[in-house]
Amino acid sequence: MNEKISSLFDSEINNKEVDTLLSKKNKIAGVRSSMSEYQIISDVLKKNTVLPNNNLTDKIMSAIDEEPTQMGGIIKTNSANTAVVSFDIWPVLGSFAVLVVIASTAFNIEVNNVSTSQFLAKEDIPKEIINAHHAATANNMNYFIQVGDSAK
Amino acid sequence: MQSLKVVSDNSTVYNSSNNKLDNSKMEIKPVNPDRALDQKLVEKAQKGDKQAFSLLVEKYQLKLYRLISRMVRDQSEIDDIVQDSFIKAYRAIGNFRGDSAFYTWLYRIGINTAKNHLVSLGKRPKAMDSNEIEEMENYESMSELRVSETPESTMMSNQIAETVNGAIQNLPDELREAISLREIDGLCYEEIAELMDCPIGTVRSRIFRARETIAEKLKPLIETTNKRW
Repeated sequence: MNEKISSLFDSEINNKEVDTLLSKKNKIAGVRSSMSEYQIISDVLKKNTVLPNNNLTDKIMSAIDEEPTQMGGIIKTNSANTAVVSFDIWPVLGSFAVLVVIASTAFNIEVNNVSTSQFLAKEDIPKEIINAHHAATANNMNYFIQVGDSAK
Repeated sequence: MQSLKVVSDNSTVYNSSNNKLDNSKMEIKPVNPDRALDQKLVEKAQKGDKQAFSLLVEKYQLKLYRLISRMVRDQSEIDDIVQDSFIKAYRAIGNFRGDSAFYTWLYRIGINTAKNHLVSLGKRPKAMDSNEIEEMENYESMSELRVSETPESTMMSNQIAETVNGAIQNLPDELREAISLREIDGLCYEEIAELMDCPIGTVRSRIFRARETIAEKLKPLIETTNKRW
């Protein structure tokens, strides 16, 4: 156990060993205490200023214990130095798809009703055909009034 | 286990036969084991494992303390800022994407928290250029602690240093060599194994035994200092 803590302190520990350490919840305080001692030794050897063990980690963790558990994006490690974030993607994709459908529908209505169809008709269809078409087609309002009257 | 071959900063390596430095040997690019371990712990914290986050706190609280001490001198204020920084980091851990190293992300939170603290006290935080921020984020270069020390704290620090140094002198040669190569020279286990001509498992064991032997001498002193500090 303690040899693993020493390796953890040096970041020379594999994922499985980290899992083993973290699975022993009741021993985490011991892990932190050993790491704190190793830090003091390390500071002395590196001639750093030695700081008092002020139990700061305990204070921080007490405050964090009162916080709601945080859940979020998860880093998936591809190699030692690269990381990719994977969220629960389906709700996001679903929302995006709905937005795309709404946006494309609105865009099509705009395109078909107003600009493009009329513009293309003027450009591509011979003028005499358009004139013949207008002559043969009833004025919209009159046509529907007539249809409405005849229906009575 | 990750590949752990590391180039030393000055591109030199010890020659195990004569204990001298040899500039010609090392060409291997580093794989940062610190970052790999941090990613593992962050990943667990993001899944709601507070114990994993507590190890990150233990690992970085002192380094963050040193960082903040460059901006704020009062010890109790530094304690508060460090605590606030970790709480903010915990609240935001779900948003940490791993684009930068965890400690870089944490140190930025720490610097911003310290700046906000100074502003709230009506003090103007020192403007820093990007080089300075980068230097502050590089925790390895920050051995200096800039807090106001009391005569008592200085005396305690000296006692601890004497105890550790005395314990190291009394270690068997192979334990002393292993922990010195690790702590003073900053070599990884694989390099130490190569230099000491022994398996990595033996290196791991020697470093652990060295630490435990020193820690045994240190414990009574730490308990005393904790009561006084």
